[in-house]
Amino acid sequence: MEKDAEFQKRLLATFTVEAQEHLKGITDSMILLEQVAGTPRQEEVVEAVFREAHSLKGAARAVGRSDVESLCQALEGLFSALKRGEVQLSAGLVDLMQRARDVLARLLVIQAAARGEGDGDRRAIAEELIDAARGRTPVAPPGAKPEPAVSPGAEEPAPPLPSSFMEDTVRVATCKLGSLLLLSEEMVSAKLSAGLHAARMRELREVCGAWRKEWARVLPALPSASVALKRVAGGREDTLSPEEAKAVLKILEFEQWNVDFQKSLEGRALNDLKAAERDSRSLGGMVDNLLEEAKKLMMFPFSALLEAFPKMARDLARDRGKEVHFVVSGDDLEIDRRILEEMKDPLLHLVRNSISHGIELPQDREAKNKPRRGKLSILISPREGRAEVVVGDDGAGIDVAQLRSVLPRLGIVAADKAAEMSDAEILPFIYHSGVSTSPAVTEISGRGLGLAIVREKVEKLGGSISLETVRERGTTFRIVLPLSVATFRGLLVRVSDRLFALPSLHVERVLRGRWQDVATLQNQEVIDLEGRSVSLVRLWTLLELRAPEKLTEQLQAVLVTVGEQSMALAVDEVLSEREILMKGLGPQLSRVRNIAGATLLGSGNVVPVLNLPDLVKSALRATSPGAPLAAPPAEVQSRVVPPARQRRILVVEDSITSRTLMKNILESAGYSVSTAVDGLEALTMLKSESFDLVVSDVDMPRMNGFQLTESLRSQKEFADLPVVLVTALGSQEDRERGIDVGASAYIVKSRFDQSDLLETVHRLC
Amino acid sequence: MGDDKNEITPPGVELQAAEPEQTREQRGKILHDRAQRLALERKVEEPGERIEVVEFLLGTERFGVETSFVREVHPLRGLTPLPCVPPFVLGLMNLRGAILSVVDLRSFFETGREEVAESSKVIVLRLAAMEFGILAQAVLGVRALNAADLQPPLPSMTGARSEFLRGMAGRLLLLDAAKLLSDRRLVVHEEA
Repeated sequence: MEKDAEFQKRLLATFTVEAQEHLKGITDSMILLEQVAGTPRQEEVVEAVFREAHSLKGAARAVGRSDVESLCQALEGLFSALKRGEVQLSAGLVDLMQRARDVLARLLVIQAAARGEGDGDRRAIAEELIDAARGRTPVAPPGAKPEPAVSPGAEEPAPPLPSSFMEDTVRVATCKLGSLLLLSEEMVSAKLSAGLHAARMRELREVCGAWRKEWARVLPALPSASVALKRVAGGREDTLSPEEAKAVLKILEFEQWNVDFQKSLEGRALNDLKAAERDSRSLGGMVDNLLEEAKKLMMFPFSALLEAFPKMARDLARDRGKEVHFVVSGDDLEIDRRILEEMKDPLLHLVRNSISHGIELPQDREAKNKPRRGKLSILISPREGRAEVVVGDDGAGIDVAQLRSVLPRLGIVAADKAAEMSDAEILPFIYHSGVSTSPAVTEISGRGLGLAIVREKVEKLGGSISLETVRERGTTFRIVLPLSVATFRGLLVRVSDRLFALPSLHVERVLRGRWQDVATLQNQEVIDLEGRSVSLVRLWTLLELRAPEKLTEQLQAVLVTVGEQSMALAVDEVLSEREILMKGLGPQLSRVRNIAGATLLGSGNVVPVLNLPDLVKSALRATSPGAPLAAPPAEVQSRVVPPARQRRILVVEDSITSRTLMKNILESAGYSVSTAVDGLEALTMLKSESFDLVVSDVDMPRMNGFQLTESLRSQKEFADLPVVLVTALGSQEDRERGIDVGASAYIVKSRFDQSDLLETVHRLC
Repeated sequence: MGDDKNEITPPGVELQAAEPEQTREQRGKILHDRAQRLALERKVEEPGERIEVVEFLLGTERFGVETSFVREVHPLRGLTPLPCVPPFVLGLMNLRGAILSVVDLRSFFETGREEVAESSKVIVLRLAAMEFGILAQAVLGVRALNAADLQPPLPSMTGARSEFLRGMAGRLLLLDAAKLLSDRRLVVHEEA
C-alpha cells in the first residue's frame, strides 16, 4: 500500500510537469491566435490549441483530476466549434478564452488537499465556454477594453512569441550534448584535410600543365623527324641532314625527360592516394562516432514507458477479479525514443491479454495448487546490441488443442492437416488475424487481430517476436528489438531507367523468371511460386512511369509482403541490397503517394524510397473490382480472401483527432472511409450514399450517437445497417442504453482499441 | 526595409525615461500607443524604402524575389525526378546531405514549363518551416528596388501568377514570396 501511495505521488508529479507544458502551449497558441485571426493560419493555430486542450484533458483524466478534465472538455468544445466554423473569433471570445486559461492555471496550482477550491469559478467559466461553443457570442465583460493588444489586468507579461511553436521537444542530459559537441569539433580536422587534398589535386593539375608545355616545345620537330626517318627506313637515302638529326635528338631528349616525369608523377599520386585513404579511414571513424552520439540523444530508458504499467496492471486485475503480482526488471536499458513509442501499444496489449486470458481467477489457481496471486513480469535485457523484452505470466497457458480445432473452422488450415501438425507448428497461428481462443470477445482484449498487430508492429521496427507456452504453467512472449531506428536495409532496383529503394523489411525474396511463364487470370497477371499463385504487378505502371519499349525475356521481380497481402513487383533490374538512411522529402512534399522518403547514394545522388504499404494499396485499387488480387491455390480457397468489393464505412465523430485516427485505422485495414462530424450530417450522408457499416462516437453536438442509432433503426432501409458505437463513456448504463437503441456493438475507447475496432468491424461487414 | 527604423524615435527611449513607479495601466497605455504608432508608420511606405531582390529569369521573363526569403542559390546538380507528384514538382536535390524539393514555378503558374538545362539555377526559398527550391533559367544578380516604383501587376495578367505577384518595377515582376511559401496549393499531401 505504501508503494501505491508512492506511485500516486510520482504520477501526480509527472502530471504537474506535463500539465504546465500543455498550459504553456495553450497560452502561446491563444496569443498567436489573436494575431493570426482571419488569416489562413488561424485554422492551424486553432488545431494546435485544440490538441493541447485535448491532451491535457487526457492527462487529467489519468490522474483523476476531474475538475481540470471538465474545464478542458469545455475549452475543447469551443475550439472544435471554431474549427468547424460554427462560431467566429471575436474580441469577446478571445477574452473568454483568456479567462478560462487563467482559471485553468489556478486549478493546476491547487494541490490535492485544497481540492474543491475554485470550483465555482470553474463551473461558471465552463458554462460560458459551452454557451459560446453553441454560438452564443459572449459579451465582453465590463471593464475589458476592446483593444486586445495589451491587457493591463494580466497577471504576467505576455510571453514572447514561441518560434518553435508546434514542435516536439526532447530533454537531453548536458553531458550527452557535451560529447556531441566534442565530436563535432573533431570534424574540423576533416574539413582541413579535405582542403589539403584539393590543394594537392590542384598541384597535380599544374604539373600536367608543365608536361603539356614541354610537349608543345617538341611538337614542331615531330613532322620533319618523322619524314626523315621514314626516308632512311625506306632505304632511299642513308643520311640525315644536321637539322633533321637535331629534331630527332630533341624528341629523344623529351622521351628521356618523360620517363623521369612519369616516375615522379606516379610517386606523387601514390603519396596522395595513401593520404586520402588514411583520411577516409579516420573520417569514417569520426562520422561513425558522431552518428553514434547523435543517436544517443534519442535514447530513453524503458522505464519512461513502463512507469505507468504497474498501476494499469493492478487496475485491470481488480476489474477482472484477479490478483496479480507485476514485476518489471532491467527497465534502465536505453532505447530509441521512437521505438519506445511504437512499443507502447503492443506491450499494453500483451499485458492485457495476460491478465484477461492467461492468469486464472484466484479460486481456480488454488484449485490447481498454484498461489492465489498470479505473476506477470516484463524483463528487459541487452542482447548482442539489441534489446530483449520478455513478457511472461504463470497463468493457464495457451490451449493448443483448442487452437488446433479453431483453425479449420476459420478456414485457415484444413482439418486433416491441422490434426497432423505438431504443437510447435500450430502455435504460430496465434498471430493469424481472426484467431482467438477466447470464447467471448471482451471489452479489454479484442483478441483475434490483437496479436497480429503486435507482431506487425514489432516487425515494422525491425524486431522479432516468439512465444512459448506450457499448459497450466504460463505463456512467455520474447520480443527482440533494435536499439535504434536510423538505418535499415533496402533493395536498390531500376525501374524505367530510374533508381528506387525498397525497404527490405517487406521484401520476402527476389524472383527471377521468364515473362512467358506469366499467366493471366481475370485480367490479372499471375506467377506461380512453388504452387502458390502470386499476382504480378508491373512497378512502372504503379509508379505511373513509362513502360519499357520491349520487355526482355528475363523477368526480374521482388516479392513483397505487407500485412497479409503478398505480390510480386516487376522491375527492370534488381541491383543490390544495402544500408539505407532514410530522409524526409522536405516540408513542401508533406506526403507523396507511394513514396516514403529518399536516401543518398555514396555518389550523393538522391534515390526515392518506395512506400510499400501504399504501393500494395495502389495495386489493389488498380485491379478491376471483382478480381481478387491473388488467386488462392485450391487447397486454401477458404482462407480469408480480401472482400471482392471494398467495404464502405461511415465514421461519425466530432473530434478531429479521433476521426482521423479511426479513418486511418480503418483505411489501413482496406476499408473505404467517409466521415461525418455529427449524427445529423451522418443521416444526410446515409440518405445520399450507401454504406456497409457506421462507426459512431456517442458524445457529439447536434445529434449524438444514441439518437443517430435510434433514428436509423426506426427507418426501414437502415434497420439492418450495422452500427458500432465507440465511446469514452464506459459505464454499464451507457452500454445498456447503446444496446437498447439498437447498436450492433459497443466499444469503449481505450488506449489499444485498434484491434477491438477492426475485429468488430470485420465481424459485422 | 531596415533603413526606416532609424528615422523613427526608438520606441524604447520613452519607456526607459519614465518613472520607475509606473502603474500597470500607464505601462499598458505606453505599449498600446507604441503599437499603434508602429502600425501606422508601417502602412505608409516611405519613398526612400528599398527592397533588395534576387533577380532571375523564368523563360524570358524577369522575376525578383526578396533576399530575406532566399536562403541560397545553387547550380542545378543531380536532380532526381519523382513519380506520383504534380507536374510542378521537378524532383529532389541533395543539398549538403538534406533533401530539397525543386519546383517549376512556370508549371505552377500554368504559363509553360521551365527547361532544365546544364546552366539552370536553383533558388532556395525559406519561410519558417517551409522550404523548397525554385528552378530559374539564370540568376541575374541582386539589386535594390524603390518601393515607390512598384506598380500593380498588369490587368492582362490573370490566373495563378498574378495572385503571387507583389507588383512590377519596370519589366521586373516581384514575387510575393511570403504568400508563395505559405500557400497550400504548393504543398503536396496525397495518400495512396
